[in-house]
Amino acid sequence: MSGHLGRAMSFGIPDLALGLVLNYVDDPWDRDAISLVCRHWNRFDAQSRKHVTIAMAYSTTPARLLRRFPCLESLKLKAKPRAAMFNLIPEDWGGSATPWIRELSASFSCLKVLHLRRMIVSDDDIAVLVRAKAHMLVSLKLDRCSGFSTLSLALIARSCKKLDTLLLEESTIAEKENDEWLRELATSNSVLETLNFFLTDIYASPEYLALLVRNCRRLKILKISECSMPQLIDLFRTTETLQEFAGGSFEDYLDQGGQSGNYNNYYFPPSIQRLSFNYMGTNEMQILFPYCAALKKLDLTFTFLTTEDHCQLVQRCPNLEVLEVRDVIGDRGLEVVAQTCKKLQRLRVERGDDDQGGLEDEHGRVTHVGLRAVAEGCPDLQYWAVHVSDITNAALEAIGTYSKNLNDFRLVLLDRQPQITEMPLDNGVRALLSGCTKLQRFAFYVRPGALSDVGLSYVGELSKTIRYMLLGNVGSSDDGLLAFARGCPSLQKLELRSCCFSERAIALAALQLKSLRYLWVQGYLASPTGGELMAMVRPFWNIEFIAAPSQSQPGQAQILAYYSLAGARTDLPPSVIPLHPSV
Amino acid sequence: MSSRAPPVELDFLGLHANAAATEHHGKSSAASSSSIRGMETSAIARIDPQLLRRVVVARPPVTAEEAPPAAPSPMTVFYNGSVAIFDISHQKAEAIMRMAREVTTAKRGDLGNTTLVADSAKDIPLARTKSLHQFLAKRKERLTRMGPYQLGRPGTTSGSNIKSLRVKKEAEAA
Repeated sequence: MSGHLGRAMSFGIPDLALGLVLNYVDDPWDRDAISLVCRHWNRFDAQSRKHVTIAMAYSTTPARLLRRFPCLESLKLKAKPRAAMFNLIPEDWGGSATPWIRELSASFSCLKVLHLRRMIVSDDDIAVLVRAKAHMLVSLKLDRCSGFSTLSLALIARSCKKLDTLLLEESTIAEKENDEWLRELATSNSVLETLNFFLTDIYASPEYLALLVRNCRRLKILKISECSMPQLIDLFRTTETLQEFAGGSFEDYLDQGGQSGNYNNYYFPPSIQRLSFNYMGTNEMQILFPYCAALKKLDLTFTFLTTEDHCQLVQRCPNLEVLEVRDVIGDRGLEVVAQTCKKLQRLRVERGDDDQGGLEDEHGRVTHVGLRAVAEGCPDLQYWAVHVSDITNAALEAIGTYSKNLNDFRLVLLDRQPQITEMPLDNGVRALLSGCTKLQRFAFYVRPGALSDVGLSYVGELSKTIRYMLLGNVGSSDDGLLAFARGCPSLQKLELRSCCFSERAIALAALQLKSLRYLWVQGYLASPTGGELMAMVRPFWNIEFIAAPSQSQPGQAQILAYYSLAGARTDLPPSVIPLHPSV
Repeated sequence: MSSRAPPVELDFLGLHANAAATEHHGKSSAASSSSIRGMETSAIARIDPQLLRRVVVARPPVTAEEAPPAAPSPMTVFYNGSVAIFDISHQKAEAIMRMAREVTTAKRGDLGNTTLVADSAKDIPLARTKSLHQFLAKRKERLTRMGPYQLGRPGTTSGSNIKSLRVKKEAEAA
């Protein structure tokens, strides 16, 4: 034994060298591989691992995390299924952070960074955390969480003097004592670099925001809820470091009482690179013009701009790396993107208003035309999510040919048009997956007939490196799913929605997909006896059945299954039925 | 006899309730021969899972220390026009109840593949995130308020007050 001889080496490598080398290894996959070599290396990794992401909080326990990584500095935890962001998960499903925060506060002496996503965090939880970690906490992200109030924000503000990042994006926060928390933050903290409460409903007064910007001289990112933009004009003059601003809002022109045409008053510091404004309209758009050339990120998702407006704006932004819009941008706008934004890395085209009697722009449709243009014009694209109204195989082939850097591609085919130009899309999908060799995340949400069983088998065959997939309305029978499941060697997380597969096929597919550790399904063919799902029962595989909200909507039931070392959940609500392990 | 699990009478066949539903399903059960003498034998499936759960778990959820009693207690089943009493353990009873639940919430398999494909696409519309949904609602409200005039263009004043989305939501008390 190495200890007995006083030798500090393994495989001829001194521990000192091992330690130094490991300092440079951050990638979790590499670390995982290193930790499996031998017990010695496992201990080394455990003691030097700085960050861990637990993609499914119920897959393990706080005690296990502590045993394995006692020196952890940074933790990211996720709990509720992604579908929770689309209001598909019952409120009482679970995801409480309490047991985690209890353990993190009691031990984990090196913890400085905590990121909780889609979890329920109570005011008590935050109080416990702050009591234990206030002197050390550098970054706290409560991302798409709920259960706490602004009183906790005030507590954090008062107590965590080293906090450089506070992120609350899209969380549901109970409001108490108005924006006193913001005043506390502004007066207690001087090292803040990121404050993000974008897409929350909490109030923020222009006075306190201005105070914050004045006092936190290192502030780089400020993303707020709604606050009238004309009242924020002065704020931007007092900062020299701000790089990103989002939120604010433009109210009705009609109510600005003579403020029309005062758009010259707007000023943003030279440091500004990323901007997003709510309800910005055609007239207000001009405030951006002097800054467009320097902009790296533009988010127009929550603006009231027309297709033409998008064209006008985007053509002035040759340095854009990130663009987020609704499909009102249209094919015309995407053509402008393709011509102008040669450095584009991330593009998101969200779904606009679908209503009959079209309130959105008549040109506001994205089709294969826009897709082709972007594929050919923006070779650096890594992340591309797009809602299309029409599609052809050729467009998908173009993506396979040109978008060689794609690692995350998500396509949703909207229900706008009764007829799609070309179906099925089997060949296009095959070309896309063959060409985009770096793809790790893939979503293909279409309509029945858009991807046949053969097409689905292509997906299985050609997804060598894909780890996450969302498939909607694909395939036409169980054969398709089973063929798919014979491939996808790296698939860890699979979401299926609105498909026609039987319970039995889903269970068999889950067993077949060799890397699968997380499965979510909504919409499937239930067997007459309902027991077919039990075919996928196996050790450490938690299966939850989330009942439909009412008997009249059987299509809404969900299956959630995931590997877990924690055994059965102890906090299941009545709407969630454990199939294995049983309660 | 466990005093903690009193005998419970469950109307599995729905003889006293769901009479209309029984009739409908009795007609369409060609393949699965699940109807005898007109009584729907998979009526067990229509039991509300909440009810079943409440019935089976006759006391608050157990903690890890207190395992449910392994000793068998009687379970009375009314099925197919006959009555049977079984001495089974709590776990087995749970398993049986679970099977019943699964069928309750399952779709009817005898409707055929194609119908269900069409149904599932209709039943399961594309979902939006809450923020996008709120934004589009605000947009609609802004547009209808401005009447025939385009967004962002000058129009005759309507004298309406600024209502931020926040205040509006409080007023609507959704």
